[in-house]
Order: sequence, then C-alpha cells, then structure tokens
Amino acid sequence: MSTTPRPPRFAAALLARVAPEHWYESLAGDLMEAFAARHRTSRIRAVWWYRWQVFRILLAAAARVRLRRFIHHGGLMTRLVTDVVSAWRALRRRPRFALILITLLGASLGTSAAVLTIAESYLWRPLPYPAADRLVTFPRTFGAAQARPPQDLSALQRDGLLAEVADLAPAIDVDGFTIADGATPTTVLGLWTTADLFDALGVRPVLGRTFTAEEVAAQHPVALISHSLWIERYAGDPSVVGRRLTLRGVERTDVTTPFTVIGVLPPRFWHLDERIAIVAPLKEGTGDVAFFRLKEGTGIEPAATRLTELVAAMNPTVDPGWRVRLERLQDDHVEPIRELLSAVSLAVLMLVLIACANVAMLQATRALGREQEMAIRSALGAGRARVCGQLVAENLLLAMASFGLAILVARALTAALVPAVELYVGRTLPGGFTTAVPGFRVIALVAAVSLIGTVVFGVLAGARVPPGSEAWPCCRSRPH
Amino acid sequence: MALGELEQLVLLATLHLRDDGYGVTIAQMLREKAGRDLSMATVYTTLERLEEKGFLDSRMGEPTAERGGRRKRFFRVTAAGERALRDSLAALRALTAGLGRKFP
Repeated sequence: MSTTPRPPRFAAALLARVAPEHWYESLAGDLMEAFAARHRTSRIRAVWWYRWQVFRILLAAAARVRLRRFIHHGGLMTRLVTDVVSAWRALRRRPRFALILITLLGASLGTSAAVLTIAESYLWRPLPYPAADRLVTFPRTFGAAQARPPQDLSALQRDGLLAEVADLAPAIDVDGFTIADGATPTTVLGLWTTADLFDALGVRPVLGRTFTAEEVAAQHPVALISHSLWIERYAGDPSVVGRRLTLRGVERTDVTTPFTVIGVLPPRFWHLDERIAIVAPLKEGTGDVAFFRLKEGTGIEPAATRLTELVAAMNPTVDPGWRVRLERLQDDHVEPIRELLSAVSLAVLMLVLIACANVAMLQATRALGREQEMAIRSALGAGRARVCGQLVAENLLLAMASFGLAILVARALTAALVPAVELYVGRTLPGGFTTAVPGFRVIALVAAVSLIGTVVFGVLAGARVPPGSEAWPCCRSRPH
Repeated sequence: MALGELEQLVLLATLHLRDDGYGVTIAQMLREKAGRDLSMATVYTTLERLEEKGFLDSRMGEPTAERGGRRKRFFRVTAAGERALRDSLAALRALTAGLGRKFP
C-alpha cells in the first residue's frame, strides 16, 4: 500500500493563505491530485511543479486584490501589488533578458560565494571545540631550527615544565587501523591518544564512555568508534558497546589483541580530520604531545614568557635572546594557507565586480530598447515615482531570482569543491567538510550584490528622461 | 456576451468531459487535445469568470483520500453557456469561410 505523497510544506501553507476562500478546497484538492500523479514519475519535478502552481495562484490572487483595491481606494499596497504584477508581465515579455541576467548574476555570485564560503570556513571559523581559544601549540617551524632547547612539546612535558602553564596536554599519533571482526576487513583512519584528549577537546561520547588514564597506563585494549562507523558498519546497534573487534595499527603493528568497544564518538567528531573512525589508547611515552590547553585565565603571551624562563633556568647554555613561541592551534592549522586563501578571495571579489559591470551593460542596453515604452507610460500620466516604482519592482524580482540561483549554486559548488580544496592545500576544513555551508557574511554579500546589480543599476539605467520630455523627471538626463 | 479564446477552450473541454469535468481533468484535456499547458491558477480564473457569467455551474463531489480529504468541484455547461459557445463558434466559422484551403 502506498501512502499519498505530501506536497512541499511551505507552498501548501502559502496556498492556504492566498487562495480565494471559495475556491480553496477544490483548488488544493486538484493540486494535490495532480501532484500525486506527477510524483510517480519524478519527485523533484512534482515538488517544483507544485511550487510553481502556488506562485501562479499568488500572482492571480495579487491581481484580484489589485482590482478590488483599485475600485475602492488606491493606496500604497495597491501600487506595490500592481507594480509586482506588471513587473512579472514585463519580464515575461522579454524572457531572454531576464534569463541572461539571472544566469550571469546567479552563476558568478554562486561561484564566488562557494569560494568565499570555503575561505571563510578556513580563516575565520573557530575549531569546533568548547575551549578552542585555549588550545595552543608550537609553531611548525619553531624548534626544528633550535639545536639545544626543547624541540617539541613532548620535551617540555618530559621535563615537567608544561604543567606550569597547561592543564591538559594530550599526546596523539595518527595511524591507519585494520578492522577485522568477521565482516570484510577494512582499513580506516584512527588515533592513538591519551585519555586527556577528550577533556581537552570537550568531547563526550554519545554512547558508552571514554577511556581513563588508568586504562591508558595499563594498556587495556579498549577503543572508541566514530559515529559514522557505528552507523555504517554496525547499523547504529547500541549493543556494539562491549563488542570485541580485532584491530591492527598500520604503523604500530605491535598491538593485535581484540579490542573492546567502550563508546561511540559524537557525530562530526573532528580532530584535524573528519575521517577519524577509531580512537585507541596510546602506549605510555610513545606519542608526541600535539598541543596543550592553557590553564584557565592564562594568556598565550604570559605562557610563552613563563616557559622561556623555565627553559632558561634549566639549560644555562640557552642563548639569552631565545624565546619560546606559541600559537593557537587554529592558527597552526590554517597559517600556511592563509595567504593563498586571502589571494583567492580577493580574486573572486574582482570576479564579482566584473559580473557587476556586465550586468550594468545589460541593463543599459535594455533601457535603450525600452525608451519608447517609458515615454508612453509618462505620456499616459505616470509620474516619476510610478515609473521608478515599476522599475524597482521588476528588478526586485530579478534580484530574488538571482539570489536564489546564487545560493543554490554556492551550496552545490561548496560541497563539490571542499574535498578537492582539502587535498590541494593539505589541510582539512575546521569542523569537517560536511559543515561548509554559506554563512551569514557570504549570504549578505550575495544579497547586496544581487540588489546592486539589479535594482540600483536597473533604475539608474532605465529611468533616464527621454529627450524632449519634461513630464518625467525621475533622473535628470544629460544634454544630448 | 462574447467569449475569449481561453473561455472557449475551457467550455469545450467541460462539454467533452460531461459529468467528470473538474480542475485536473479540464487542465489535462486542454493539455492533451489543445496543446495548452495552463497553470491551475489560469484554469481556475477562467472557470470562475465563466461561472460568474452564468455559462457554467458547479457542484461539490465527495471527499477522497488521494486529495487529502478534499472534495472535487464538478463543472457543467449551462444552456446559456452552450448558446454562447455556439454563437462564438458560428462567428469564427463565418469569418474563416472563404479564406480558402489555409483555414479549412
């Protein structure tokens, strides 16, 4: 037995508001029946067909309101509705112009928005941890150049210096894991780590628990699995906790005992990579401290100063000008690609400017072809405000369509581009690539440029006074 | 009262459909027989106008599940509607007569 497909919710709700009361029941029923018939061949087409039908009903209802208001009293609302309806008709008369403009603006803005979204996600989005600001590490280039003083955080840790400024300092070793548990063996990415990683990142498992410091010390074979592994390999079965699976590290081949699954990580657990599927305890003293969490209230500069003093006190041979340098984990992650991304963002903004120039040309050309229409309108008594209002309404429709197309293009392109970008720049997107969607800043930019390209250019170009006409001083024309 | 082109088409489709003329079937017939893919808004606007002119009358049917429990509104051409359609078609025929093979 098949259930009746549901039409798109927003459109259906809109229909209930705009359809004439007398007709609503039969009209909604007819639309639903036709929708169900179309749904059988293509769901997506049926949904868009339904939305289109409701849009046409909205226009028809607007025309009805316009007529009624016009008869009784002509107010601001009437004019607005009249303008929108006649704008729609004007665009229908020249569909090619509308299509070219919408495609040009939508595609170029969408592409730019996709690139800016990616750049923004890298450069400005904080790492997805509660205390992201307090996570600190050595700069990548630091230490390597130093022969004597600590070359890495692990050395500071061993000397007991790190504990002065840090409350947590997890050690991490990224490795491949081969899972053999009866089903086809697979190799996934995973981490060997200490118990304090979870506290440092503020990660709580959705099922089970994380491992304890004692388990790490005693080398208990326990492991956490990622949310996606849990869903894909174990079909989200809660009894996975307690199950035994044989894990073998690709690099650390020394451990092959069956591991007991003790927990499932939250969805989108991200530690510099979204594909982390296994987290297992690290053998004591074998991994490197990757970063540390500053003690509450300790600034990054005071911490660097304190560490410098401690190191200098311990090693009398240290060059007096030498200083410990620290940077936020976030900066460490994106610093090498900051310049590249900034340059690409600038280039993309230039692309937006070029698109704007093209749109301006298009609008100017169209205005030339409509001088007669405008002259007729003003000869029939349309004042400056009326003609401008009409142009604004027309261009607002164009703006909405371009904006919509741009957002669709941006979302699709972002999803398609991120994996390639991650590979190219050698850094994963903070928070994982599935989280890259156009943010507020990007959407605001797209909206602003859509409006400038349509309303501002369109009205400026279209509202010139035809030569010799005094009736229509919307904008003063230059002498010919 | 004169008939517009859409009004003619809708009246003819309704006549064809006899007792089964409602929004979906009328739109479907116009699409299949006349090659006109009209939006439901257009079909209803025309139906409404024809009803106001007295060329159509309507009754509500029974609710069905596939329509979300909503009833159909069946349309029937009135005597006045048939007369208007005849007059309108006669005018068309009178005007096309004598134009030769282009308009048989």
